[in-house]
Amino acid sequence: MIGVICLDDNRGMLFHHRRQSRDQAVFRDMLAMVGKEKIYMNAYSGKIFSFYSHEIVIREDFLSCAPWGSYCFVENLPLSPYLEKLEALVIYYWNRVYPADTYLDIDLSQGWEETDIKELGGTSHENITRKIFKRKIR
Amino acid sequence: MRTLHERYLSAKSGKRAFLFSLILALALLVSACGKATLMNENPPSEAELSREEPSGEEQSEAEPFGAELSEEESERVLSVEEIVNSFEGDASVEIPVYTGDAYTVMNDNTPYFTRSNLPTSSFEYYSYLDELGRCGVACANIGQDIMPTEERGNIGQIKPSGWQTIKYDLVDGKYLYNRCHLIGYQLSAENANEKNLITGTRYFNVQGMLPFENMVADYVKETGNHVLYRVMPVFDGENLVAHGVLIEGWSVEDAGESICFNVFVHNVQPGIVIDYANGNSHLEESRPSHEEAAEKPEPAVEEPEPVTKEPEPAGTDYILNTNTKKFHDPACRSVKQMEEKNKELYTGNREDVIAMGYAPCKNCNP
Repeated sequence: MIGVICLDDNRGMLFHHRRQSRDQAVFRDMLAMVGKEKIYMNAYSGKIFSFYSHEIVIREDFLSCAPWGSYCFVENLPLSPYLEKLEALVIYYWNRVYPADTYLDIDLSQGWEETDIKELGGTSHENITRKIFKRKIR
Repeated sequence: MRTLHERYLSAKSGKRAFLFSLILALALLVSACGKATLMNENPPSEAELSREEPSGEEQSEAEPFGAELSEEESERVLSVEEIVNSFEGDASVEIPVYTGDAYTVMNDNTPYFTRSNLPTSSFEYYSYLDELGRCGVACANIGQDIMPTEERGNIGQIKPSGWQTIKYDLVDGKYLYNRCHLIGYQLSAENANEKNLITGTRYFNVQGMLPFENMVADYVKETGNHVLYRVMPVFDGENLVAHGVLIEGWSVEDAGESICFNVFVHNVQPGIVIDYANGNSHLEESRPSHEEAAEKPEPAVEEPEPVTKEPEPAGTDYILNTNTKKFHDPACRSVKQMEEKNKELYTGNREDVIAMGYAPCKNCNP
């Protein structure tokens, strides 16, 4: 599966069980990136996608059941238990600092390589950076 | 450290003025004059509250200040003053001590203000300065209609209580103190309002307050909803510099589902000791005498504004991203991704770039 997450400058994901930020530009870019593929997520994330007419699979156990090659938007779950399933990771960097108490639990310096970078202007963020990391070939 | 309740009791027994407690600060709030501006209501009002201080009998020692609403009242939207003065929480909580984190979560991140019957229109409230020239509580229902539409102007003419202009090499941007907005400019577009500016360290401003402002600003911009946002500076005794601020936030339309926090942000600067009575400071290790410190202050200059300054004639070349406020080595791959309109060449030294408000790129680490 391909994990899709958002991070602040300190690798933060959540504060007090809530997302740190959001931006419509990220959602639009995400949908454009996946094309006709489904996106898997839980109900927490599904709420903010309710305005988009894209095929979203909402399941609380989506990380367990998502098939190989599928996109999984992850906001409030740890990724490390699914490390072996992760083929790639798409990270949207907010390029800002937010309060955080939950952080990305994967060390990208170990076994991952950055394969793509893209800058996009946000609706509430001046600049968002999208990076794609893939597993290093051993 | 004594509890808030103990501090409140000692306040009642004698010393007037300003104790280091949330409760007392809120009690003072009840008696303070304030400015409330209601948005989208007719007419906009500037309300002055009574200066009469509540008697000891009028206030329960440990009960919250928020009044219980009758069934009939439960349907009505609370007034600005009711919201600003509300307190629902544990009165025995202590003001936290700084232990290395810029902020400390309070009350399990649940705001102390009342969270029902809140308005869905924007407002701003700023307390009048007290007799020592110090700020009081500021509160706003942040909505898109009160957010700025232009760049922040100069605020250097404001001298908040305890203000000093002093530089240290170890401080990001060198200046120890910033004029810190209680309600951030990006939230309420309040520029040089003395009722909204306190003396705060760079660390307090950038590491402590700014992340919360960012989080609230993004949410409001993206959703068009409101966030009730209250900031209370906490002074100990007659100190002129606050030990910190209590910041509470709550997304109104979705009843806190998106934004819900309550934190105490510490007004500290790692490596520097601050005398909160007057704003004097010294390095943690050297501890110069008062006389030595008095000989060393830098010439008075205004707080550096986040604007460009003329490039120095010689130095290192950096590429500034005027959009993200990051700076890069010219060879950095991010430079290639950068939009031309956001790209700016700067020649000078690294410290000056940082002082201009730019952060080094994490990829090229210039």
